[in-house]
Amino acid sequence: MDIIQQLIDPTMFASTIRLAVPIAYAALGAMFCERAGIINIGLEGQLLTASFFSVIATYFSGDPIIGVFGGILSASLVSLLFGALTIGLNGNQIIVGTGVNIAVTGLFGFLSFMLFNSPGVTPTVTGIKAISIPYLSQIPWIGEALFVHTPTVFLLPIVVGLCYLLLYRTPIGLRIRVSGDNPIVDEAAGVNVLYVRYIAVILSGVLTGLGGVNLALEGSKFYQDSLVAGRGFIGLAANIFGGWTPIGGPLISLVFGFARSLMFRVQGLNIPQEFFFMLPYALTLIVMVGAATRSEAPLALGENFIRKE
Amino acid sequence: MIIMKFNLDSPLGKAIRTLLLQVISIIFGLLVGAIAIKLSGRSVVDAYTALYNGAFVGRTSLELTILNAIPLVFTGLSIALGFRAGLFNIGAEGQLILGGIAATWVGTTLNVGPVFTTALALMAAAAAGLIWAFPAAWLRAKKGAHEVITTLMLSYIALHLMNFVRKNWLYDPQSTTESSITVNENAKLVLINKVLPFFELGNTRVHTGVLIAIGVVVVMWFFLYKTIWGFEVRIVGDNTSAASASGVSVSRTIILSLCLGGVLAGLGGGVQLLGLYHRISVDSFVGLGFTGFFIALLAQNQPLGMIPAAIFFGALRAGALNMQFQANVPMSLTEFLQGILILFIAVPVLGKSLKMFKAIPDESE
Amino acid sequence: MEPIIKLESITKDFGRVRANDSVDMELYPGEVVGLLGENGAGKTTLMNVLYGLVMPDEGQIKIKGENIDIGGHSPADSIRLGVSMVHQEFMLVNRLSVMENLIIGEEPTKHGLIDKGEAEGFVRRLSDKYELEVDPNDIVGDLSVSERQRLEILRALYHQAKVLILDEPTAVLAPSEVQSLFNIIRQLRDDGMCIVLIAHKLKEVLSICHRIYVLREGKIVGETTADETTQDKLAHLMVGEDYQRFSEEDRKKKVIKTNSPVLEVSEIWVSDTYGNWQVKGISLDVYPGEIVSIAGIAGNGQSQLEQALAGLLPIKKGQVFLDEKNVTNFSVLERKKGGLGYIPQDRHEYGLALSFSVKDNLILGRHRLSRFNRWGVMKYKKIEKAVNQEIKDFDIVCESMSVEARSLSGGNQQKVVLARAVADEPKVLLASQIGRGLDVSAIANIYRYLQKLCDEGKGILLVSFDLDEVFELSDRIYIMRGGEFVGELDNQNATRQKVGELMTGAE
Repeated sequence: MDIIQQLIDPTMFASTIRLAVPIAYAALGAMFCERAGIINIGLEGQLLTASFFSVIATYFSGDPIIGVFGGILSASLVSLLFGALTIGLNGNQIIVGTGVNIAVTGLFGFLSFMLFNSPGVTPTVTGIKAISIPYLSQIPWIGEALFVHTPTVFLLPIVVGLCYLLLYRTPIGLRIRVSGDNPIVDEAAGVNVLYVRYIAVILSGVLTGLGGVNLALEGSKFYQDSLVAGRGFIGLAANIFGGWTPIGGPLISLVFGFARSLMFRVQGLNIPQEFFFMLPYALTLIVMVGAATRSEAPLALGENFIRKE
Repeated sequence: MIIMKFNLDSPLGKAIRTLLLQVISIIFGLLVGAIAIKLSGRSVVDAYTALYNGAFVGRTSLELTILNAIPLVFTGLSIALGFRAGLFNIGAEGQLILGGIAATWVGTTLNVGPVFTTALALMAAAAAGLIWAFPAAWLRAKKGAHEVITTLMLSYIALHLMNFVRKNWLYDPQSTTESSITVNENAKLVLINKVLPFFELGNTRVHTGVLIAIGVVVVMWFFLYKTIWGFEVRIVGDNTSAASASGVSVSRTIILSLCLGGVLAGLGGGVQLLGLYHRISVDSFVGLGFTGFFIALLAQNQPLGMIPAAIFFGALRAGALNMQFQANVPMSLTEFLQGILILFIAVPVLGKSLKMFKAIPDESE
Repeated sequence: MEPIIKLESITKDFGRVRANDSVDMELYPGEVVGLLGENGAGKTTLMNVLYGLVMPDEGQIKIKGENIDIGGHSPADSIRLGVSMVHQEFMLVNRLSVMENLIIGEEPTKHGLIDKGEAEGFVRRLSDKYELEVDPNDIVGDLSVSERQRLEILRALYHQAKVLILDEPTAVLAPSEVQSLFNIIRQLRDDGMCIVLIAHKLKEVLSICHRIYVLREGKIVGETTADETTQDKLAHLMVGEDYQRFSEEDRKKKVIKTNSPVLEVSEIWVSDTYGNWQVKGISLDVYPGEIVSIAGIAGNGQSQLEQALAGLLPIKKGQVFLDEKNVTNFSVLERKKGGLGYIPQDRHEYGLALSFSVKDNLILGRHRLSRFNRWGVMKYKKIEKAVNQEIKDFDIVCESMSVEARSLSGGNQQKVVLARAVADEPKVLLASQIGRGLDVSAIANIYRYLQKLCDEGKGILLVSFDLDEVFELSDRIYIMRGGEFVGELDNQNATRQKVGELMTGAE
């Protein structure tokens, strides 16, 4: 009975949303990349980068707003690197993505050692606190569940809307969708496919930047290399299961958020905690079963585009 | 140029070209590492000397290099087998861990005499690796689920499972490091000085796992190039449509490739546990899977290339340890280096800019 | 009148092959120009150069009198200058709507967002004017082939093209659809557009073009007008020697009409991967010594029928008998062992593993036969001996059996696929689009070989979108439409018109 009570507690709802957010941003980033035909395994590394640099920037400047910019900028730079190596230099997308992840993990371990003498962990900073929206947060139950959150959480629905507009209603969005299904159509119409794909990749950088800010500045308030723990990959899965749409990915992320909040709540029971830690990953596996039967995948996904000479 | 006269398209020519590319990539990677070391205020010369010493100078170093290399051969083969079929078995680490867990369980529960216990434990390890790879294999073959995500998820689960095993199920209450109980003597892999008495090796930490590793390499070479199943794996990796149109069962080949990869990684986990660790601790198996990815790339997915590639990386690890001692350069630098090196190898950068490498086949497709 | 397009001394090499050799060409507004030549003569390359998809090694391009900067020339450039091209493989995204495919690259916007109203209006206006009958909100994936082609033309109009290049537009159309297309072309010509028709079908070219260029092996070998020439003269120019059609003599063969057909298909139903029925109750038979063709417009179920017969798609209802054995549920390998040889429709995608050796490709699909492996281990000596023999027998030109299949010419690659299918003495050969992408002499070779197989008492079932091929080779023709056979004709009694009508359902 205790469990049921816990489940309908508004804080459960709130933490579901809160824990879903970084995955949702990663899913949106995955959406743009895959819609453009690119499998960006490096999303994990991008999240890590944003987390690390948002903390570092805040630490050295004393201002979390600088941290936000630092996070977004750094993640975008890493995404640009990924783009350069795959789009520009035609490297295999999965191998480069994995390489980026390994490289940044090592780099940040090294940098944190250099700067703070503790490999893989940084000191804590004052991050960004939650905001209570006036009036709305006073509503019983709903108020606590929906209207007391950190800024990136409130930003998410707006970002989702912007992504929707961008993808379906703007020229660049159309060009991105074309480059993921049949890039040569872009090319024959005079659009530079490489440029379009770079845009998609950099967009993923900005989005994961927000995700990293959420994890580090709003969440733990310090960086450690186990902070991201696979959320980038889970975001990829969420996007696939969500049908490569701006709304689908974030929606599915809620399920993952739920799994994670469950993880923290049921520790009273007699089941060893490790099994709860496994929940999000097991869930992803299950999601992949359903996701795999989807036929709406972009047709040119994973294939590098080579301009003919 | 002399090189131009030499037939670049012959099999030998191709091999030399790709070898040269690898070497150049490694040099570039080391250069980047040198810059990082310099920027951190340490001496590059000291660092790299320490690296070399730690890997190759002196008996302890050499042994450490070999010991590091052994599990990498297994994960490298596992991932390479996947690559040959066009699959990305990133989750070899999870399969490795399951193998280690199975070996620990058998090694602490059964005792049927020296060789047999070890053999049983190893078989359990291989089976565990197989079981761990199967879901991802089936999902990919039957449902098209991308194996990168599924095998990775299984890896994360395996990690937590390992923690459960050492902290809970096979917990050793006397251990101060939250490790599992140790396997019994009969399960441990024999040290090679006992198996090869005629070499007069004296005291050594190197275990028979090294012989098993070499054996597995030869078996995989044979499998890939001399059997019908290996042939099918290679064809599926090149052109799935042509393979299926000519009657090869693509789904069976995918399952075979990933499951066999699971067996290899699981076996590697078993070997590592029974030969070196003897029990599961908090940092057991860490990084061995991802490193295997690097090994496979370096070795161009060739079974025979696994041995030099694994030794290279084993040396890097051994040297890095010494670099930390003698030149005060942290281990995380090695990890960073590793990532950079993968990037250099994954991208045919140099292949494009150096004209003599003009027609290199893009084998990473 | 000044030419709107002038090509001067265009030369382009692809490796050792000279695709275009110092080509000169002039195009004027308000005319339809035919660009004729065999497969591989350089027609598409030349137009790709004009369009900016391919950069020539030498030569000048002048559009409206202005010299074009070759280095910076691209499709974007061409479109801006009024040159549009409709390729053989349509440049469309099936998932998106007609309107979205249309505006790509030149999207009308309002405040940064796409102005749907304007785009839709454009589609409707032009569609009405030229009777193109295209609805802006339809999803391209749902359209028929000729509707998609019209969309491509519409797109050229959207870009205000003054020059429209059509690459083999009639290859995928039924006779009546060809007429509609030609009507549209005439209207566009009357409105002042210059249309270039890349083709190799002589009758069509003569019926619609004013001027005709003939290319052979990269060079212009003739420039004439429709009035001054005949089919035979053109054929002669294209091939450079007396055009040998597969004569009536060659086709006299002994059709061994025994009582039992070597392939019998009885009321089979096949669905595609989405669960839709694509083959609806098809029955056919093939007797030893005869060539039977399945004709029809692409997309009427032929692919699924072919795959089902090969063993790649399951047969939900009905039976298939191979040499009297029921093979309905047999796998591809089992069918092979049962006497079926299969040549899939696209040798690059479904036929060969291009980075593998000729030897590996020849053994692919046969490696599990007991003569080539023992308990799973490949018997390389036996394999090499067989491969050597086959390379000789089929006259496959290659440096050695170890070279990559990629390095072979198209004709030789097709020979590898053919050799693999027939080397183990099948009773029936199932071949799809067998002459596709091959030049005249390669095709003649293959056709002669098929004849030989017939003489040996084998049965051949062809699936082809090429009516020429169907008429040249077949004893009997089945016409497929909408997943069913709508007609079965003896070659004697069949005319192109009748077949065309059956293919499209027009009367």
